[in-house]
Amino acid sequence: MTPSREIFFNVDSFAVTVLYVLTIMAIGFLFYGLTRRVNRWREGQPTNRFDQIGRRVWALLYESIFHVRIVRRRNLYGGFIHLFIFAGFVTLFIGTLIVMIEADIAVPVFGVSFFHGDFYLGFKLAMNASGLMLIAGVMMALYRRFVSRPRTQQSSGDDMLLLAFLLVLAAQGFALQGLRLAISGDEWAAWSFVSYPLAIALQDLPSRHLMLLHQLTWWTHFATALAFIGYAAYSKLIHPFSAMANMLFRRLRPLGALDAIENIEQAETFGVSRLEHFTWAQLMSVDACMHCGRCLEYCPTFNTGKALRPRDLVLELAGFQADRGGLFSGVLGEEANSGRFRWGKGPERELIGGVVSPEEIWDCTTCGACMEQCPVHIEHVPMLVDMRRSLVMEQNAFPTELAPVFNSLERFGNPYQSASTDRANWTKALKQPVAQMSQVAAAGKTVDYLFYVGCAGSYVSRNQKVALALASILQDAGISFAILGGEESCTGDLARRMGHEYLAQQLAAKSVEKLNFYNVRKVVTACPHCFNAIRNEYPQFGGNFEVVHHSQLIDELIAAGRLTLNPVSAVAQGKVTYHDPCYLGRYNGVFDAPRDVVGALPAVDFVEMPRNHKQSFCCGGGGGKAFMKDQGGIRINEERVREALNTGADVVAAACPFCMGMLEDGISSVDSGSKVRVLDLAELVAGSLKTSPVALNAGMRALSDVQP
Amino acid sequence: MKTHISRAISCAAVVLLVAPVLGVMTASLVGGASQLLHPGTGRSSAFLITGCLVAASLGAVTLMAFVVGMRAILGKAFVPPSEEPA
Repeated sequence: MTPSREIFFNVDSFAVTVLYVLTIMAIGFLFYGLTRRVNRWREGQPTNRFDQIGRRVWALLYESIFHVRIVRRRNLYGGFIHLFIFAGFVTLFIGTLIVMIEADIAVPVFGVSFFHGDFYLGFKLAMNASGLMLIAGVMMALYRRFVSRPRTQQSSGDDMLLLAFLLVLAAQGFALQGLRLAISGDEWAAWSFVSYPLAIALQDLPSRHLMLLHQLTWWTHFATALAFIGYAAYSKLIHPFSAMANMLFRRLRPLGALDAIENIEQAETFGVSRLEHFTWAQLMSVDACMHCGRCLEYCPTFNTGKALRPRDLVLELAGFQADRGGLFSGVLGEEANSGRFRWGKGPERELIGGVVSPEEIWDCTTCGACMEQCPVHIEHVPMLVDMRRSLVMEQNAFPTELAPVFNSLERFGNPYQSASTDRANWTKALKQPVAQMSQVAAAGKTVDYLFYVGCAGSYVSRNQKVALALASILQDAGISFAILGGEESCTGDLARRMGHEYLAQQLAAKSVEKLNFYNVRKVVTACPHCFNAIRNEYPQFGGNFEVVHHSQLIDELIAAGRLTLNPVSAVAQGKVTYHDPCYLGRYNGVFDAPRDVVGALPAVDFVEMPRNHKQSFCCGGGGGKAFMKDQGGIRINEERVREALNTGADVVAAACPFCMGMLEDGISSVDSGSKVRVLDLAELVAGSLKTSPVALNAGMRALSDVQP
Repeated sequence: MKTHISRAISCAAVVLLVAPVLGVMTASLVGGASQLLHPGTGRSSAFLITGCLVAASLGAVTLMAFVVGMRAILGKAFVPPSEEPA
């Protein structure tokens, strides 16, 4: 006899009719809810996310099926929870569809049956395995939410109800199958390896009792499934739709590139002060949040107790959007979400001040840890910068510390209130002169690299030493390079991240014009913020340059044998740890070159901090925060410095002027007597050069004579 | 008042939804135990013990889902993180 089974076992045709009618109604309810949400998203500003469809679809399938952003080395437990629930649920759903296709299409329409034989036996096996996997995933999730309770998890009624739904559905499925096997005496029952022992235990019960129990269980399983479908669009369960949509329509630009305000001269609004000022894709993205808390794991503000918590920001926006649309936001009452969540408080609030506080908006260091961690590509930083744009350009409401910075950027093209004519003063400390692009161009010559020194390297005495060190390395390696000198100005990164898009565009356009004027092709810089702006944002202003960070160039020069390092370096000996600058590592993927440079230093023992690479921890200086007070909780740089000091390192290697300042400041406040030094990679290498350490040290000493 | 009524209806619905599956698991547990205590059906003890264990596990899982679901409906599901950052 061929293995098979009756599909609607112990269920009469009336019940089957009711099943289909109510299922259609539940699906209708689901789509009604989805439509209402989509209508909310459509109120956002236009943005083109329909380009490169093939790439988008491929990325969506790859990331969702293989869980590449969910199962990560440092999130294995949480990742496997989702993988088990996803795989179990999706397989069971497909199983249900297979049964429906057999019963309603294949047999009645085409007269073909496939639900028998080996296929059927494999089906039974797969369904039982999937049910077990689903239960295992949900139990793991409950353990995490009730027992281990990681500090990034804050469980609401919505989270709990969803898990309860899944558990009940799986248990009902096994119960139904056990009853059917017990009643029918299925010859192939053992293939249902979970339900089979249940069936054996049930076999002695009177058949009519089993039949009644089977019918009751069938109706309740069906009712639970309908409630589950109906609940989906009004709860966290929307995420299979919204998260996949967000993954499909995500920004394909590099994460380090903020979108420009197009035609800013003609624009009537700047940034976001109302919900509908966000783009439709941003409005959709807040509904994609599944409350996993990954965005908090390496967030500097969350980990130091500040107002901004990226997950809560997104949930606040999602809740406000639900309020505005009259949608049930799936939280089952405010008290279920006591504490920070502020939704369910009416649609009439102001976005800034009523939903998102200015403290949250200004707390962000724009380090990108939240976006890098988010499994569904929610972009928190652009939303925060959009709100900063409104505060700065429309409302003139920004932290008082920023006023002199904006003024200085406008007047001098740098945030340090220093004259542009003083930009090249640091070069006077070098024995060999450094050419300026104007001189190179006048002489009709070309250089290999333009050294974009950046404002800190040009004006801040500590960072001038880094510029000196890099220049001496390039000279030592025989690289021809020049600087812009007084023609250089801020790249616009600082103004852009602080929300002054107009000023940022002016500065960027000026720089691009200058670089294009000199026909610059290759740029080297020691500042990751300049690096990111030139690499990722200048194409928006017509600037396409090959830009390398100095760590990459030094690494190449060492590998090519163009730099000879002294085995008995006085600068770096002992343990060295390396701090990943966010705008170099996380935003631009430069992780290996700086480590290779440290590894190439003689007599150095390299140690990693616990948080490194993509999971590094911000120094607290990005997004203009180096110029603002660090308020609330503990200071971010002190948190990072403690981590560095705990490695026992003698030197903290840096690769960014802002990081350097923040780390040095942090060390002096955490342990004023500490002998731990913060040195840039260029300083470490220059100090170890066989040919020029003496000259370099002399040059550094001479710096004090040329300070502006 | 409206909230209380909707919660009461939701609670009653949850009881109705989980009662049959709990009934099945209880019946399996009792049926399996009874066969183990009164041998003679010819069924393998190993399968019966497994049946009892599966029934107990699925019953416990359902009960857990019931408690979690009721807490959610009653607005008592909020679980704070184990520790707050500084």
